[in-house]
Amino acid sequence: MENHKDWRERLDQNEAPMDTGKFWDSIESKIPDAQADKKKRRFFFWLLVFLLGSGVTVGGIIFMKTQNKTTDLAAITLQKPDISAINEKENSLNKSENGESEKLEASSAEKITSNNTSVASLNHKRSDQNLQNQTNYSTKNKSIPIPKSDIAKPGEVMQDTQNANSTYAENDIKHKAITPTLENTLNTDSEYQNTLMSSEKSSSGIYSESLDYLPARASELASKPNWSLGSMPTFDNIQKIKTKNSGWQYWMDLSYGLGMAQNSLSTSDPIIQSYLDNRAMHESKLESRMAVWENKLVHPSGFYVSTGLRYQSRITRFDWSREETKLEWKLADGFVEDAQGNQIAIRDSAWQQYRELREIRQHNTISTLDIPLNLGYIMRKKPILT
Amino acid sequence: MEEKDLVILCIEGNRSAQSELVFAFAPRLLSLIKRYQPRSLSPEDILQEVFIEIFRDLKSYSPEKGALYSWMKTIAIRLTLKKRRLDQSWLADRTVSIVHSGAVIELDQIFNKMNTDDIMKMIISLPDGYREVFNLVAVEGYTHEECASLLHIAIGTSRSTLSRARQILKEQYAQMKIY
Repeated sequence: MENHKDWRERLDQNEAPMDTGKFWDSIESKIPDAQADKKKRRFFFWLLVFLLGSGVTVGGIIFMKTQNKTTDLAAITLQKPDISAINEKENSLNKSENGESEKLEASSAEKITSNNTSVASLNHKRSDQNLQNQTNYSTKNKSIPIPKSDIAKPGEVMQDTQNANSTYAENDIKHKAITPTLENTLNTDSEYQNTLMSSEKSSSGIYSESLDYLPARASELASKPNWSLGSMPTFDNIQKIKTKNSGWQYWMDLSYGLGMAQNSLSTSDPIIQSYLDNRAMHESKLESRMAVWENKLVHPSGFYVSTGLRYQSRITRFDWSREETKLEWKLADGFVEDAQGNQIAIRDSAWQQYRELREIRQHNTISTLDIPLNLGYIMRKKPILT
Repeated sequence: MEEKDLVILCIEGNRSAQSELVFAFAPRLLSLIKRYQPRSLSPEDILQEVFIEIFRDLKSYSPEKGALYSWMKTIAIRLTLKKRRLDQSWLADRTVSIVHSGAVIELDQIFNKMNTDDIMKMIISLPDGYREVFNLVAVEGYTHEECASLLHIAIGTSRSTLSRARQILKEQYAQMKIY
């Protein structure tokens, strides 16, 4: 038993003569550098952190900017009619119980007209059909006749011609409602839109995207054509529509697919290349399957973030066989008996032919299950309305 | 320096420790590769790849699994056999002249009488397929199942090939004695 181990141990401990120093020189540069790998991994980690941070920051800035736009739009539309001037006028009317009120009325109306040309021009359109030759403005049961040309602007918005001659006291509520703010001085939706457009353009910041929401409002108004306190769309409504569209939108995709891919293998070693050529020929068709479940949050600005679950599998098949015929010189020994019964050793030899079949059948399946995190940007002209 | 410390330093990328590892084990591994050596490839080239693989996988080595050389030897054998399979020329036939001695001699007894260089020469002279099975099963101590798995052959083929390899070696020995 000891002898049995001996030759194996000797073989195992046998050292082949070689120039170890030269060998070390040849492999030193090829040994993977652990420190470099660490640095590489660290670099990719911080790159990922940087990209994620940038994505979140950019997304946040865009979100904040969009929010500011909404506020600005509301501010612009509310500021367009000079409400302070109108209030001043109303106060003046309330206070005036003498003839001087007529002059105040007229001067206030002129002030409004000069402050807002768009409102004035629209008022002018309607003044011909709505106003009577003379309109009575009353303050506390006292009717004050005012010339048509002087009071056309604030009074014209009252389409209810039946109340045109009523006293101020009777129409107190309506009068407040019909003070010439942007919304109640306009007769049609198109006028409203035109005015809003001109208002925005005349302001320092032009928010063209706000115009995209007007059709939505127009359809809402179509069902409520009459001006009234209850049905009148307010600026709050507009802001609501705007806010609704500026929020994140949620999408979910579920997909499954089959695919084919072309396989290409190459090497600088000519011996290995012959093997790879053979392999590439048999592996030319790769099967791949993929199923994705993805949740996507899209911001109206076009930026989106998505994540979910993705399953991928790729199957490579390598079916190769090679058959070879080999010849081997075989010797055989045996014994035959002669006539006297003696055994005679004989030796026979012959070529022995045999076939050798070598087969390689490899079916490799690579499956991955991962959680993708995508940050991207969708290019489109207008935000999607919900 | 103990093997354990040497391994730690090598993992940390210490060039001095890495060179020490190469100087200590390269000649033994080269001898091992030569026993499996595919004729179309230089054993030194394979040894280079073996060491690169060793340094890359050194983190996965654990002293509890066995001696460092045994672990390195496993990598060397697997890589050499892999290279072998990539080389198409290994399928080429090799004529072996066989002279039957008629004597029934145990192979172990023969090898124990011979010096190591002669044993190496005899093993290397075996046809490729026979040499691989003989090295794996008779020398390294792999089971026929492990050998069949490594060489992608049937277990029965591994057994019959080993038997045939032994026969060839015995006949070669007889031939050496005759001439």
